[in-house]
Amino acid sequence: MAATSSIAKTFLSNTSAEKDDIVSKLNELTRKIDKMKLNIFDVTRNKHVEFLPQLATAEKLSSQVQNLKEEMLAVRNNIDTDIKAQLNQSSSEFQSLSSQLQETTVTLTVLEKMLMLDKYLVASDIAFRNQEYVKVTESLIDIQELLSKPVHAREDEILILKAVQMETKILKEKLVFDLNDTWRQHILWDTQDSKSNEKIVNKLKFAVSDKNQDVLCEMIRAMWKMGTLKAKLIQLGDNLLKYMIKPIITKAASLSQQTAEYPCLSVTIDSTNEDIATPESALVKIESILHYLNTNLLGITLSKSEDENESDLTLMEHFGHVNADEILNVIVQECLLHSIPSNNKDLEKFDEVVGLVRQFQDKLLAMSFIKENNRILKNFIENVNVLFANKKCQEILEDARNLMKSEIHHTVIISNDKPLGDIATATDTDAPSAKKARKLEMLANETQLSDNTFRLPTCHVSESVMKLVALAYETLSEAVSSSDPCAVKLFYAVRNMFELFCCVFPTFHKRRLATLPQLTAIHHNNCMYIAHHLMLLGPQFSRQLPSPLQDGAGTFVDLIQKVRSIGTGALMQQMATQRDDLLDCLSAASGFVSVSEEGNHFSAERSIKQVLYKLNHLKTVWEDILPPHIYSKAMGTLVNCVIVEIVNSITSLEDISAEDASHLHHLLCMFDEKAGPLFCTKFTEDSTNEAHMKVELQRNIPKWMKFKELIFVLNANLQEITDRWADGKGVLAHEFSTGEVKQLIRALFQNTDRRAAVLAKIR
Amino acid sequence: MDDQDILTTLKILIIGESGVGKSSLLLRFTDDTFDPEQASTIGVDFKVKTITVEGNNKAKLAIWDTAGQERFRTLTPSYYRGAQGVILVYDVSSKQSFNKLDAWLNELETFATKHDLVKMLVGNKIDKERREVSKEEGLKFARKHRMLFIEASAKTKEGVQYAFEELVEKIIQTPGLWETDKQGLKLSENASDGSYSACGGYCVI
Repeated sequence: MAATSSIAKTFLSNTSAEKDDIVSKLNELTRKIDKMKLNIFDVTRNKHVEFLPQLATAEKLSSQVQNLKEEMLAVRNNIDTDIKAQLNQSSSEFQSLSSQLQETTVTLTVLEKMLMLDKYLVASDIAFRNQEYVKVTESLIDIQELLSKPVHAREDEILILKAVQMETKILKEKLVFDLNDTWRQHILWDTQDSKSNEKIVNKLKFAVSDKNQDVLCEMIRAMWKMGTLKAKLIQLGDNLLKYMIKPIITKAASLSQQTAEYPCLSVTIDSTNEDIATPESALVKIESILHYLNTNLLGITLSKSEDENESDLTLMEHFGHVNADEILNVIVQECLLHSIPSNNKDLEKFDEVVGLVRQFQDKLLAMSFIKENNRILKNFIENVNVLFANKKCQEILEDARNLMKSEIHHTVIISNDKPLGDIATATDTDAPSAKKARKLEMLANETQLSDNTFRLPTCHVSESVMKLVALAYETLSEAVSSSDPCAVKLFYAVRNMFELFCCVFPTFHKRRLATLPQLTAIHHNNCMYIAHHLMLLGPQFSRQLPSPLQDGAGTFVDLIQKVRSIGTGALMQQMATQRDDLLDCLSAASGFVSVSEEGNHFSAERSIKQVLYKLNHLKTVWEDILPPHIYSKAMGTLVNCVIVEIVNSITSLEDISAEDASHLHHLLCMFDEKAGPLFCTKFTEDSTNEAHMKVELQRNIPKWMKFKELIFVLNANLQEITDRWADGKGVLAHEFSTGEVKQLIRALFQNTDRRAAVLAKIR
Repeated sequence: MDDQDILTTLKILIIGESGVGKSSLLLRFTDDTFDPEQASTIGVDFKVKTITVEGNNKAKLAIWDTAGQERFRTLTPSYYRGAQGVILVYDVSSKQSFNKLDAWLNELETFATKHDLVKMLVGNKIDKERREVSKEEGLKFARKHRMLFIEASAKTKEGVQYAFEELVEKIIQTPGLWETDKQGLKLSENASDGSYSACGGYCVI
């Protein structure tokens, strides 16, 4: 209960405090409400009492503003209408004024142009009369310039301009004509037709004296300005080339200067003379021509140079500019290139010519005929070596070709003592070292070389081929003493030369090589001779040639086989032809059947005689030409063909009567007798010795012994044949087969017991 | 001449240096002649002669006389083919001809087809006064190469006939050398009888 009382106490105390507070607040609220009432009253009063007077003032102000606005609008309208009209008027006025101004200016310039034209026309006219061509030209050029720039869009409607243009054209034509006329009057050519006379004199005259020097100058300068000078100078250059420089170079024409009335230059040509002038004389002459031109005509200054450092442009310079290339090319092509020597000795001397060319070049420069950058002469000077080699190679091949095309039958003898003919061998400068020599010696001891290894047997070769080989030696000798590129060129020229031989020689002489046995023989020798030297050439020169030639490329051995086979091929072909010919003759004997009958006997004997005649003819044409062993071999082969044919014919006969046998024996003996001398040549020792002939017959004719045995059989009895057979151990058995001997015995002997016995023994 | 009783034909070759008297020996044997100016043989000469051997049997000799001079000889000596006997001649008055014998033997070995062919060495010209090769030298050479040996003179006939006869005798005695030409059978019969030894030098004057 105590607690309740305390809460009640607290509660009670609180209630009293709150009561006080509310009272005070209520009092304050009352006061504020009163104050509010007062304020509302004031406001309400103000609003309703003072409203009307204020409204009146505002309305008054509004009407005033309205008035002012109307006034402003009126003023603005005024301004718009009045001022704008005035502005338009004045601007169009300005426009018309300015166009008037323009028109006036145009008229003025056209008039000015007219005035200028008039001035130039008058000036040119006056100048014309005074022969002041330069002025005329200048005026005309001015006129043209004026006319070319239209000052008015519709200028072409102005008639007077057209007239002026026409007049200018006429004037210009007249000027050109006058200038040409003057040119012709002053620069005179007096030339002759080359067909008319032996001696031709071409003259160039300048009708120039102190008096008309000016006219000339005027003319030249006028032409320069007109642009017609170039054509004239080209023509002058052409004439100069045609009438003077070319004759001087190609016909060694003489040159003279005369100064009778006017300075005159004349070239005298002897048309029979075909010599090409030496560079020395040609250069001197050409120089004096140019000098003459320079002093008399071309020295005229065309235009003054503006730069002090540069000299004035002279006519010569212009002339040179137009013509120098052509003239120099002619000099180089026609004269200098021809004068390039074709051997080393002359090449040293040629340095003088090169010096002359250099001087010539300097003089031309001084004359300003050429400019520094002209390379024609310089190229020549710098390339003399190359040109030399080219020319030389060309010449070598040409010479070689001519040699190949010359006659085969002019021959020379090549003998053992002079294995290289008349050609000197190249001297070996660097001897092989001692070691190498020892090695060689050892080699030599091991294998014995025949003394004949590097020899060519005595025989005839064409002079031309000998010269060809000599040319090869000469060229190679020259190659070893030449500069490297030159040496290589020369070496290959020699190789080409021999390759050319392989193509040209057999082709060019084809017909004759096929038909004339002697030429075939010479051709054969020629090829062997060349092949021989092809073998020797390489080692003699290659070591002194530049690399890679000295390292093994400098050889000719690869050509040997080709050349040899050309020679042997031709000879074999010829022998085949001859063999066919001989067998053809023999065919007339119709196999030697029944030669005892008169007709057969005659034809058989005739065919044998023909064969012998042909063989003797071949001997005549071959024995001097071919090397002896080749001759014997060739002749032996042909005779062998003949006797094989004869033996085969006779051994296959079915029946040979006693008379037939004796006739055949006679015929064969005749052949035997005549065949021996075929092998006696002038070159063989003891040529008259019968023994020699016998040996040669046996050696060179494989079937000779068979032939001899046949002769024996034809004249033998059965016993002799049996003995000769000797049970297959005799000579007869050595040459004939059993069948052949039996056949012969059956044909020769009648069917007896004795024959049967003999036949039985032959087994 | 009747061929009926001929036992066989023998191929005999005469070789040797030029001028040693090969042709003279042959001519003395076949024709019994002698020419002091005998010409050089060219290529080959051929003679046939029939001689009596072993009782009544006859043998035909096909004798090939070859050229001694190098330049007269054919390039291929085909005449060696089938030879059964060879007479190798030298000149007793020429040492050089004796020295060349080796070369001739070499050629013979190279070209002969029958390798058991009988070889006889003949020293010719013993009639000459100046001798350069003694008999002993000849005999020694013959022994060394298993050859028959005889000295002879074509001029005086001395030893010529005997040389040929001896050679033929020896060929006949050599089994298989000559019979094969006639009958192949004989070869096999005699082949077993191989006691033959080629003893040179037993044959002297």
